[in-house]
Amino acid sequence: MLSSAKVHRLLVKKKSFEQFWNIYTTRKAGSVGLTILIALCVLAAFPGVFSPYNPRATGPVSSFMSPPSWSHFLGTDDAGEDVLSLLIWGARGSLMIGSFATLIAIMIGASVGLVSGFYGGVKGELMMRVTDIFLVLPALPLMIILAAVLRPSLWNVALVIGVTGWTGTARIVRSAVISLRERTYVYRARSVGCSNRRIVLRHILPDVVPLIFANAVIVVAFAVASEAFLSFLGLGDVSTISWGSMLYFAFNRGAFTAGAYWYFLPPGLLIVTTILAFTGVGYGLDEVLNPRLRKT
Amino acid sequence: MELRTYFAQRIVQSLATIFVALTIDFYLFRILPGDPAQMIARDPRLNPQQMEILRASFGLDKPLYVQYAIFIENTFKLNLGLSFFYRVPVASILFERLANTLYLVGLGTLLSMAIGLVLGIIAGWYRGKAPDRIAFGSALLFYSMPSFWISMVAIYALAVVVPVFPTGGMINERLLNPDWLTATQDSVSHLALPLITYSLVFAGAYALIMRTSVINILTEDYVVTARAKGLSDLDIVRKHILKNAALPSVTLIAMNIGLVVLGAISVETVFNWPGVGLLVYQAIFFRDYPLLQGTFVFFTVFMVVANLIADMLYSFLDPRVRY
Repeated sequence: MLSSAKVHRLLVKKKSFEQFWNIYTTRKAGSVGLTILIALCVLAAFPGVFSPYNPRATGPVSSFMSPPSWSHFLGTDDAGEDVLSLLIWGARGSLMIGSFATLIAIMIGASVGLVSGFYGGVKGELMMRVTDIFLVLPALPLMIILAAVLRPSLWNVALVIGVTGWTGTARIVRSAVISLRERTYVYRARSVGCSNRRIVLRHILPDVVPLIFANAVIVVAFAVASEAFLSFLGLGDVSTISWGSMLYFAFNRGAFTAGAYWYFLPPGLLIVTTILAFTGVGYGLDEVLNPRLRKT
Repeated sequence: MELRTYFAQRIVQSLATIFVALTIDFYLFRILPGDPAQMIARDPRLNPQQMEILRASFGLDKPLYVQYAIFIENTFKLNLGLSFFYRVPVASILFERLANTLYLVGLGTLLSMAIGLVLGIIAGWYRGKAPDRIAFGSALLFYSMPSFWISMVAIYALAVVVPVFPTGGMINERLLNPDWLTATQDSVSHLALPLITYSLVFAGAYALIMRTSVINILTEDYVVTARAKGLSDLDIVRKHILKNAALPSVTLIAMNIGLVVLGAISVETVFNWPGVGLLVYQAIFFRDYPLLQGTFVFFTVFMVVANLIADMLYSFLDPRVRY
């Protein structure tokens, strides 16, 4: 049985969710983006159900790079594998790397932002300077040499993108924390004897969580694009089926000069769609989080 | 804060950043499996004494911290080591290729800024209306496209299906002693497609940045005043919006200098354009670590310095900004 207090809390939650939902859906971009993302996640979760073939089933030489036909709706690649099946399984690879990388980036970025923004005085100033040095460290060249040194695997690719992609989150969280630490409730918490740790985790973190979420959406888009770029350079894990590794093979086997549009166009289009969908969700969340943007 | 103090602080910070990057660079390649002397030799038949001489000649027999000091000193002297693949100093290949990159990226950046500026102003001025939707939509679309993919699409469309342009390279090497007209035609036709591709990708990014700053400026008092004075729309854009909107764009474009590097690597690789970007791809392909490290140092320093210059430029351009 639910106690009445619990029922009340649930009702409050339901109401605030409804409010959130009403504002979120005022931007069409948000709804469209979310719909596309859900569809992609379903594909990524159950690729076996949707893909017509085993993506690693190679065909006879006569079937290499064959154009779209009734048996292969999107044709085959240079090893006779079904492009449509590769795309569906690729959704899993790309989204998995994208989400792991985002998780890592968000955790590093949020921690750095919280810690470097919270402390004032000499200690805080010093931490701020050290953080700044890392914030302006160019991410792209670093990403390339890290990936070149590590053995390519799904995890390592995600790790590389994560440890180089956290600076944006850190910046946003830090500037939010700097303004939050001067709020009255933080002074009050301190005056009743709360430790710094408790103030950061219980009083400041909950206030920046929505910001972190909104930022995570942008980071996923960045991570999906980065995975594709690393794969293209030959630094990705070619044994994982992802849109990036498909493009890697399409590029190296000259699919674009051979005129095999069915091979190199779809993975790129899906990457663009995914990035745009995440961007759309970002706009929707922005609408909720920035009341200034709302039309009155 | 005094402007001079701010500048000094930024310069020190940039130096520290480069130092951190170099340190990562040094230690990262020391944890690589395999014997570096063997990688230089690329010949398993050398006997132990010969390997020892090779090791000593590269300072690999010294303790790690001495190697580190030598590495830092050499980097500042622009001695970036020997390429495993090309067998010549990395710095000389870099400088050789630099001109080609500057040629493509410089022209491309100018062109994409011009397109982005116009698109961004149109979008910002008509925000929420049809022109904005078209300009903003297409800018966002191009911004979202992987630059190497759009290069592949460009080659497929304009060099394969409709063979107007060559598929890649910088010149047609089979032309023997061409006269200047043929040579110019040849070089322009090789430049056109990578240039268009590069500009398309970055025009999107610049247009998005411009649009935001135009929208911010439209609510400023001086724009309202200009309108109250009865200035025409064109005059308001030309005299009041253009200059002020270009201001924040300067820093934002410099902050997105990573895009320039990303574009250089992608477009040069797909179009087989012999620049520094293609060198990154080749270094990875041939597992040529000194070359890869060289390009890393080059791009890192370039990006940090670009950021620094943009920050300084910005405080000159906008006297309202004081730190």
